[in-house]
Amino acid sequence: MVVSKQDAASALSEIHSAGDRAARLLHYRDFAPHALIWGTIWIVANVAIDLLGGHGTAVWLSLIVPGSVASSWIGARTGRKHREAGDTRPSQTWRWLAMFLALLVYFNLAIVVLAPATPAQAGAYIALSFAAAYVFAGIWLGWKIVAMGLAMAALILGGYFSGAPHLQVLSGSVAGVAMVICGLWMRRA
Amino acid sequence: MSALAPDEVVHQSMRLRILATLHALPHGGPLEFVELKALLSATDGNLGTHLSTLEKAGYVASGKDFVGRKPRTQLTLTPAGRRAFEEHVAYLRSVIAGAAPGQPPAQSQGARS
Repeated sequence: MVVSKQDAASALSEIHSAGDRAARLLHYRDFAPHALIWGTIWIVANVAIDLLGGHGTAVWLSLIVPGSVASSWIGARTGRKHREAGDTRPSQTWRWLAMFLALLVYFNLAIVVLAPATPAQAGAYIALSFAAAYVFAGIWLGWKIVAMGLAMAALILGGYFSGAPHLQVLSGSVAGVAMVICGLWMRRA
Repeated sequence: MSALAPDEVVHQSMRLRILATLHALPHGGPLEFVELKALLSATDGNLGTHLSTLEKAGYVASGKDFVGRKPRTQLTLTPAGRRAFEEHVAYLRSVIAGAAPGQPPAQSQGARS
C-alpha cells in the first residue's frame, strides 16, 4: 500500500479531529458532576429562600459550604484517577475552587455596582448572565447549548416582563435546571 | 514493521479514528462502546466490524461487564495498537514531508473510505 500526500494529509486531519473530540469528552466527564451539584444547589437555594420568605445569606451559605466540599472531593478524586491512568496533568481541584470563588466574587461585585431595586432583578440578572454564557459556549461546542441558553433567557425575560409572581425562584430554578441538564448531557456525551 | 511503512489495518478511515480516539485517552482507555459510537457518529454494525478487525490485529482489547443488568463493552488500546498507530502517524508525516515513498492522488492505493 502506498499513500499519497493528499491521503496522508486527510488521515492526519481525521486523527486530529478524533483526538480533539476524545479530549473534549474527558473534559465533559470531569465537569459534569460539578454542574449537577451546583445546578441542584441553585434550585434548592431559590426554592428555600422563596418558601422561607428571605434568609438568602443563611440559605446560600448553608449550601455553598457543602457544595464546595463536594466539588473539591470530586476534583481530588478525578485528579487521582487521571494520575492512576498515567495522565500527568496537574490536579484540577484548585481550579474548580478558584472558578467558584471567582464567580461568587464577580456576581457579588456586580450586584453591589448595579444595585438592583429588588431581589428578583438580581436573580434575573445572574440567571441571564449564565444564559449568555451558555450561548457563548454553545457557539463553539454545539447548537444544543445555544438552544438551552436561548430558552433560559426567554423564560426569564418572559417572567420578568410579565410580572410573574415568585420571579426569583423562577429565575433560579430555570438556571439550576439548565445547569443540571448541561451536567447530564455532558455525562452522556 | 519499519517506522516508514504504512499499516493497512490502521489506515482505513474508521479504524484510524477509533485508534486516534483511544490514543487520546490516558493509557488508551477504557472507553465504552456506546461512547465511542457517539464520538465517531458510527453505527453499531460498522463500528463492530472495524473493532473486530482491530482486535484480530491485537491493536484493541475489549472487555465485557455488567452495570446493573445492562451489559457494557469497554475498549482499550493495546501496547501493540499504540505502537502501530504512532508508527503510522510517523509514516503519514513523512509522506507529507516527502521523506517516504508516495504516489500522485490518481495512483493512490490507500484504504481511505
